[in-house]
Amino acid sequence: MEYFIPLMLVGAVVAAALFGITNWLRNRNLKVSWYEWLIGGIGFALLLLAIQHFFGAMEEIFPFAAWMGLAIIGVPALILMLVAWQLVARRAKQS
Amino acid sequence: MNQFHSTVSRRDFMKGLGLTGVTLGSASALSPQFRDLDELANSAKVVNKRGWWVKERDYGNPTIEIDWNLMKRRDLRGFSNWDYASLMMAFPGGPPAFKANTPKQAAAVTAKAKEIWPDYAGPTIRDKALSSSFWASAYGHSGYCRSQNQHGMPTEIPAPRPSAINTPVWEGTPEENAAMLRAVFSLVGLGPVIGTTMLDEKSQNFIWEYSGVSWTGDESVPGNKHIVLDSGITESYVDATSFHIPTSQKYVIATHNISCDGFLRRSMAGAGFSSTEEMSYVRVAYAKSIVEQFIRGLGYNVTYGHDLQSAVAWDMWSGVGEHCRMGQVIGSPEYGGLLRTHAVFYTDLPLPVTNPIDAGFVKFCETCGICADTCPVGAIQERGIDRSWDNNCGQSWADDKQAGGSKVMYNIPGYKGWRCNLFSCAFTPCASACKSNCPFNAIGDGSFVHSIVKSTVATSPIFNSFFTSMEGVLHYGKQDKDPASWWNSPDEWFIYGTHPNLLRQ
Repeated sequence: MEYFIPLMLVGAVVAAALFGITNWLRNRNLKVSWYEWLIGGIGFALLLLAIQHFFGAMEEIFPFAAWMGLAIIGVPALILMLVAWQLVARRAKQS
Repeated sequence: MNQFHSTVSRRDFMKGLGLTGVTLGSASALSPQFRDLDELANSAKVVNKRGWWVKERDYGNPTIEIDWNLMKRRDLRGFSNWDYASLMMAFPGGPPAFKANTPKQAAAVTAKAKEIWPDYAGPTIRDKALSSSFWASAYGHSGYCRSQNQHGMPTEIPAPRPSAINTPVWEGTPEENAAMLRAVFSLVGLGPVIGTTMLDEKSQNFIWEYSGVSWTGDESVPGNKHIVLDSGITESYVDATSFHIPTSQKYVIATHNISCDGFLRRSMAGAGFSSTEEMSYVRVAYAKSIVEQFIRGLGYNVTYGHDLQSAVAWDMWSGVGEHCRMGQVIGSPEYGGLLRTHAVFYTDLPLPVTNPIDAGFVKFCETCGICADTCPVGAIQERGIDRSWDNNCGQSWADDKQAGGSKVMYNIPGYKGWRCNLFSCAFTPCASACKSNCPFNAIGDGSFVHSIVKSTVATSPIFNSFFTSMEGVLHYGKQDKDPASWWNSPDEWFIYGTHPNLLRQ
């Protein structure tokens, strides 16, 4: 229960983000295939992990590990999310 | 309905809604309160806080092989790795070789420090002053450590026995007793991992037959005493030639005080071998004195022994940790090499048995070897060297005076593992650098990655070498922080020098 409030906040942000994305997609009538959801979802999960690792390592007073971890986990996360977005965007452009 | 586990019923909670009510209600719900000792003893808080991945093994079955024909009570008369005179005589090549080696050790540490911090100019007067102040209080140099060896603390007002104050002797189940001790240990700075086990036909071999040279300076005849397991007494005593432990004190407690982790990670800064944590001996001397008096006050008896036994063996036997590459250090799944000065007690206060554990630590050490990379003098067996029955001190077991030879062994036979070369290690001014670098030192309740790595290591060895590489990339334990920065980092000035996440029970 120690991390109830931060976890609740993370949950709220994740829920709001998902709601926002699905609404945005629906408003523009964009279809997203299962693998695009998967790639984007993995990217998003990695992004959350990168953020957790960053703050966790900072809390442990390991700034080098925090920044290096942010790069190692966060960059692939952004790339995966970028790939998912581009797949959707390019398909939408073609149609 | 009788509600044992929460003092606030749901209805009361709802009634009390409002900011104050919610605050108080949440505090009550989040802080467990116990109605009786049974409940307390069954709480997860009063046993070692362990991940699901730390597997319990059967009693008497640690993760290394032991040959009970060789694992016998040791005769350590003449042994010391912290006494110049004794070590000099035992050193291969004798005193001249020992004297020639000492400057080499210092040079190796300086070279290693240069490798880590190329621009580091060396310790300043404040580093040296702190180091000297630790050294001044340590061992037999002052009165502070005097009671660390196997004596009861001299005091003018010992805790009265229950009979002296017309009170019944404490009666509790073994689990309740363990919970009670855990509470006291937390006050005095012992733990957080506490093992409780038993003296039996096998485990009594962890107690030396004769102790080595004493170093706290409080014995008229320093050390070299016959340690007698005595069935005719209830309280331990020491005389000029022997130390007697009652066999009725068959319950064994194995624990430590914990390292000053941030300070330890800068230990190679060259302020000398006393620059790190010499105060841990003082802390244990203080803590054990209170534990002795507490158990006496309950109406039971206790014996503390600093150099009566192999503490690491008791750690393994009681599940405090596992054998590791460093050899003379216990590998803790939660705290890595950060369990500092040991504290072993023998008592007649009934205690439950905590079993040996398997967290994949030994297996991980097979491919890791970061501690050996860190050691400036090559005392730790390098990556690629497997566990063995060998001595690793340049000695032959055939010369063991207990096997008909004439030499005091600087390691013990009878287990298949790694052994530190004490002739290289002793008096090296690295201030226990090896212990600072263990990947298992990762601080809990911080990054998610530690629990994932540790649980994976415990489940499968496939990723062990990858995790070793990642430790190198992320620099968790690496001594790469500017050695002077500790003085300028208030965030690291924890009470006891230990990150609070490491102190949680």
